[in-house]
Amino acid sequence: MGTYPLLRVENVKKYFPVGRALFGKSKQYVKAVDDVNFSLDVGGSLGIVGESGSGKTTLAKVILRLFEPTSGKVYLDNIDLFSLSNKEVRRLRPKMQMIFQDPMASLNPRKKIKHIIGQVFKIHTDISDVEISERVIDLLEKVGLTPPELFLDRYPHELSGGQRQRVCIARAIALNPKLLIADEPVSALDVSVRGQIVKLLLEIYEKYKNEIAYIVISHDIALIKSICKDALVMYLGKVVEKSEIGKIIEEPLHPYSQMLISSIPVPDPEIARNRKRIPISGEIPSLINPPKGCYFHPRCPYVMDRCREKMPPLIEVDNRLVSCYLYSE
Amino acid sequence: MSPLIFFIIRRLIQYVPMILVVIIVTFLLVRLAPGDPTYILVGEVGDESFVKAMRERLGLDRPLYDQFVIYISNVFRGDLGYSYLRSEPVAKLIVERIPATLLLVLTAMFISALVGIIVGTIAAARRGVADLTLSTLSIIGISIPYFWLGQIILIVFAVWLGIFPLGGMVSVGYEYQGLEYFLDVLYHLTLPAMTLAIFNIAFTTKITRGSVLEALTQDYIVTARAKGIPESRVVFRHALRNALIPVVTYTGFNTGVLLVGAILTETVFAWPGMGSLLYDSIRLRDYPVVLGIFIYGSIIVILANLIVDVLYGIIDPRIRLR
Amino acid sequence: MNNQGAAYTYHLKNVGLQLLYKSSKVFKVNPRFTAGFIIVLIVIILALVAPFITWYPPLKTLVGKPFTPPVALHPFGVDDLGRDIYTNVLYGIRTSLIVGVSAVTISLAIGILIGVIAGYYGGLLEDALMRITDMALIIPQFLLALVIVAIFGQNFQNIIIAIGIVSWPGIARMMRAEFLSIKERPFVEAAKAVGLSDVKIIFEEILPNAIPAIIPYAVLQVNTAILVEAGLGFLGIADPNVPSLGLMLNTAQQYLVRAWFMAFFPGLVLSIIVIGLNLLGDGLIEHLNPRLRKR
Repeated sequence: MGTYPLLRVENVKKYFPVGRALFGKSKQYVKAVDDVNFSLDVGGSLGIVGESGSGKTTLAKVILRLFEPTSGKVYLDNIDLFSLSNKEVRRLRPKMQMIFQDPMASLNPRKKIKHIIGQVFKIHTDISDVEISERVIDLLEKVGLTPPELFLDRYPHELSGGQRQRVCIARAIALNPKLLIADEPVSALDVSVRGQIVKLLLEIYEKYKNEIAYIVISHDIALIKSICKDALVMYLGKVVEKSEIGKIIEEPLHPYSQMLISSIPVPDPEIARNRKRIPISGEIPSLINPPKGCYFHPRCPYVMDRCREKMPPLIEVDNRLVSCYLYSE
Repeated sequence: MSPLIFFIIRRLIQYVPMILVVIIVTFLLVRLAPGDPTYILVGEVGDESFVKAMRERLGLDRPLYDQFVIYISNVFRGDLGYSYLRSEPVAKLIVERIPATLLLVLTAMFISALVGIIVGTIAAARRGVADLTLSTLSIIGISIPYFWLGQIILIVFAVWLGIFPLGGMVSVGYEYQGLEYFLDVLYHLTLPAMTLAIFNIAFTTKITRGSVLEALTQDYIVTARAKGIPESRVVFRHALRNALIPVVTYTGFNTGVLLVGAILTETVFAWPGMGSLLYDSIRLRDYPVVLGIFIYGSIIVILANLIVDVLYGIIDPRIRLR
Repeated sequence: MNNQGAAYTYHLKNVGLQLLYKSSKVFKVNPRFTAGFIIVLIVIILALVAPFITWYPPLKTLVGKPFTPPVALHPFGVDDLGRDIYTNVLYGIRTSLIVGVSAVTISLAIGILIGVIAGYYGGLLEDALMRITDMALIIPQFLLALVIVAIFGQNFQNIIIAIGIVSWPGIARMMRAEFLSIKERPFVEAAKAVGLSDVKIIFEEILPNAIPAIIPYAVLQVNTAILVEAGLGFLGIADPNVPSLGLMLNTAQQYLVRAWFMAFFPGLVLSIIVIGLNLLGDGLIEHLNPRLRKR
């Protein structure tokens, strides 16, 4: 066993230029991902939580090099992803896969299911067509599309939302990835099928625990809790808190995390009545001109003078990471 | 500098190089064509001494670069060469013919805009039978090759019925003056202008119908209807008004199509414009004139587009910002 | 297992039925499309069976007395050189269709290539290509085609090539617009995430989704090409060894007073071809634009 973590994300930044000047470069940037660090071991499962616009999806796409990074380093299996050429990245793609938010949109509407999944083998292996179709059938069974023969020749629009997402999952796990990122895997689905897809994701996780690491992106902490062990809370491109998911839910440290947690409905009225509630207030500020100091201070109920001056660093509190002056001496 | 002037200058910068491109394309085609380019630039002329003189004048025995510079500077000075067959400079031959062509094009444009906008709006408003009939008719109108339509009109009105002249622009053998001259030209203009207009009516009808239909789906129309404004008023005052700009500009940008239409129509009616000149030159293999008509025709179309584009910017200030 | 097979067959049958139902709906909802479809079908059949329903070789002179008006043996009459107009019109349909389809194939190839490169790669390359396209759109295509054929030589092949290379700009613009919008759709990113190369993304993922949008346009382009060929023929730019409806109108022009039928029949047939294709193309566009269809 190697001694390094499977995935290391170091100081990753992604800035999008805004507006285009006729000459020279534009001066303004959207800091979609701003200096993110974390690492993930094999068997690890990390949830990334945040409101829309917090940079979760961008972070995922930068890690997978679907977006070119502005700066930083990402190591997968000790390979420096950002130093690879496009061709080398393509060769590495089977090892890092993504499940997209909208399964209908992320499947080519003009291809049959067998071609959508089979394509992966066509690109990255040189197995025969017969073997490919065996593999595809195998995968369809694995993701619960049975009998598989019934789905091979169908087009995406002939499937239900849940079935489409199963196809996406099949495509993602086709070549045994080491890193699997699921971006809002159930938010585009009917509530009734969400549970089944979550169950499927967990099954797959259980099965490949010893070789895979999971990242699940969602605005829904309850979903993260049902799939992941750890969570990372993002706000305006920055990590504001990272710890075990259970701890975040029981006792969120950062005021923003508290705000997110208090938005989850709790079935037990007793607990609901007693828990500390922070109402969600304010809108997420503009990413082009983020507020000075801590980005969260305009919405924060505990705002102090120094929050308006300087961004608080990520500090360790009881084995957890948080970026808030409430916890620093 | 006012934004309008800035806008006009920007458009000029955009359009003027196109003229240069047309000339470069012409030069390249002449060079790429098989055989001796002299015969394309001079025409298929048997007179050896004339050919030799022209060779030297055009620098055809010099390097390609020199030829190119000579050609471009000639064209920009308005020198398109000399038509040996007609013993006249090509530019003079063409420029003489431009007014007749413009008269035909503008008359047809006016008639067709008037009729097309009315018919198109009715077609869009009365969806159903009237709409289907009209738009089907307009598709047929677009489809019928106007040169053939011209021939049929000529056969019916001039040959069989004998109520219009067989061709030309003025009656031969009469020296009309003033009003009589005007009426004589009008008499000769009727059939060719009608032919060209019919083709273009179909076009304006189609565009009008499309853009009124588009306008009718907008929210402000729904609002107008909801307010209880009579349907005819909704269509003509609200929808048509907003649909008109695209119709007018589209017609303007369509000058190229209309010019080609005029060239073919003129041939049918022996209307003494650029089209007849082109027809005769093709028959005589008088290539310098053919090339000249291509260059002048392109320049006319480019200028027409420039004018419409600038007018569009004056009418609709939002365009200027782009 | 048997059960599955049955389910599968049922599914297949279902798909077939659905297709049939869908196409029947197109015909029912869109009478103009239907009319266009029937006309084009008949025209194509006529072009194919021309040798079997004519009784003279095409272009053969003196098969009848010059300027004979329509009679049973010469349904469309006889022209100035004693050629049978009916025969030449039927072979002329062939010419028109061949020119239309081949020229559009050429312009599709050029237009798709340019549109694809501009739409997929963007940046300076896109700006440059689109400037060229805009220029090419303004220059009168008919005149350019005319000049090309006039100086390169009046033969059938040159006519097709000339029409093909002057009519790509519209296709290039459409293709670019389609690429720009499809490129942003998530399945393209998904394909990238799976590890597809640029070439495969362009040709296997985006292009098949972009083609349907340009089909009606291509149909209308066939039409334009046919009209350009006829127009060139009418001005006398044609291959004398190939029967051409346009060239027949050119000949007829000199004898309008004497022989109306020399102009009437070739032009009528030409009009019918063009009407059919226009109805077909317009019907397709309306069918693909539900907003226009529904009202």
